[in-house]
Amino acid sequence: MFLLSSSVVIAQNEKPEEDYFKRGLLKASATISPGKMLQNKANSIYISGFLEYALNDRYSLRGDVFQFVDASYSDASLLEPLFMNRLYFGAFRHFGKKNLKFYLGAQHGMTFMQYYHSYNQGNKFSVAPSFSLKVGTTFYIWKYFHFFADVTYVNSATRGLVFGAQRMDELIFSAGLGFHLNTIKNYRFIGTPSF
Amino acid sequence: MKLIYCILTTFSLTASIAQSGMISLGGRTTVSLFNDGGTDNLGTGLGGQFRLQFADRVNSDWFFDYLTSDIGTVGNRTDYHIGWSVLFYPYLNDKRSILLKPFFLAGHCFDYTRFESNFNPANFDERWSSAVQGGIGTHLNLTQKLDLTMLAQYMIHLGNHIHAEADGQNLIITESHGASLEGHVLLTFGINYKIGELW
Repeated sequence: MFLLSSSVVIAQNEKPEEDYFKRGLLKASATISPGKMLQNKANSIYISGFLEYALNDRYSLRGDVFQFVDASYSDASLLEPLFMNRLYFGAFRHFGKKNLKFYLGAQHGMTFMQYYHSYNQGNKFSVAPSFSLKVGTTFYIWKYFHFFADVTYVNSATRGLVFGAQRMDELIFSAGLGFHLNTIKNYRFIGTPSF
Repeated sequence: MKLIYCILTTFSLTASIAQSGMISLGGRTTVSLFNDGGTDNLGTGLGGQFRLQFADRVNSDWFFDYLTSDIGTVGNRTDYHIGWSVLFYPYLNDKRSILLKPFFLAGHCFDYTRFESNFNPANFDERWSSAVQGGIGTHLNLTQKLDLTMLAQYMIHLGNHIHAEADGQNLIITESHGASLEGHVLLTFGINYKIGELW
């Protein structure tokens, strides 16, 4: 009887779950992201990060960076980057209730790459326009932390190679712990004081 | 009509009708469908733009694009566009909620184009030209401040004519005397955010 009444009291004292994803939420994270180069036939590794700002409880603006670390190439790999950085910025739509959200978004971006061109020309640097599509999920566990997992399709091509152009489309997987902060304080109206 | 109204209200968008003086900032991805100059391959580009809305029906789009494309397997082409377009909105709904906002556009552009061999960087040619463009598009208002914009336009360049084509492993670049017209279709997908009102 005592246990039952205690649990009822505890249940009554529990605060309703707060929705963390709302206007003003600033999110960021960094993680290690494996990738799969679709045409260049290689498995890549990136260090990735993002910064995201929620415009309201459905839309956000987000920037992503992918810094290429290395890759395991196959016999079909035609291009081995010496340096590669992918930068993106775009808008995201978030779905779901409470603190489990699903999101998808599109981003514009650039791929900066240095690669070995030929004996005559040595290493060359390429700046390639690019875009990405991302789908993923986030679970907000507390007012400062969330877990996330997503997959990014990256579309880009490196031009000017000795054999023409090489498509460098890629699927990049990211997951891990993210951090967030609500930048807009919620003021609660408690009524006009009367004298 | 009822169905359309239901769709609009379901999305509960609140793009204000009175938007004169609004400034927006955004990024864009462009696909270039060249149909001249031996560069029939698809070009892709990244750019940015800001918009200043002169009147409720008239907006202006100030843009920059960086586009790259191939010339067969032996060369590549880079285009830089800087210009402006004026957008006219034929439909102004008197409701305060609207999802799609179609427009016509026309404008001017200045551009720099460089053709270069993949094998021999000394084999290149370049030109400066001016252009005019016209097309149609629509904003997809996601929130009061955020929109996606899709547009298709035809851009016609006036400048000296450079023709680049692959001949085996060589890139042959020839420059004709006199001015000529060269055009291409641009498909643009942009994301824009309204950052403030000037008046």
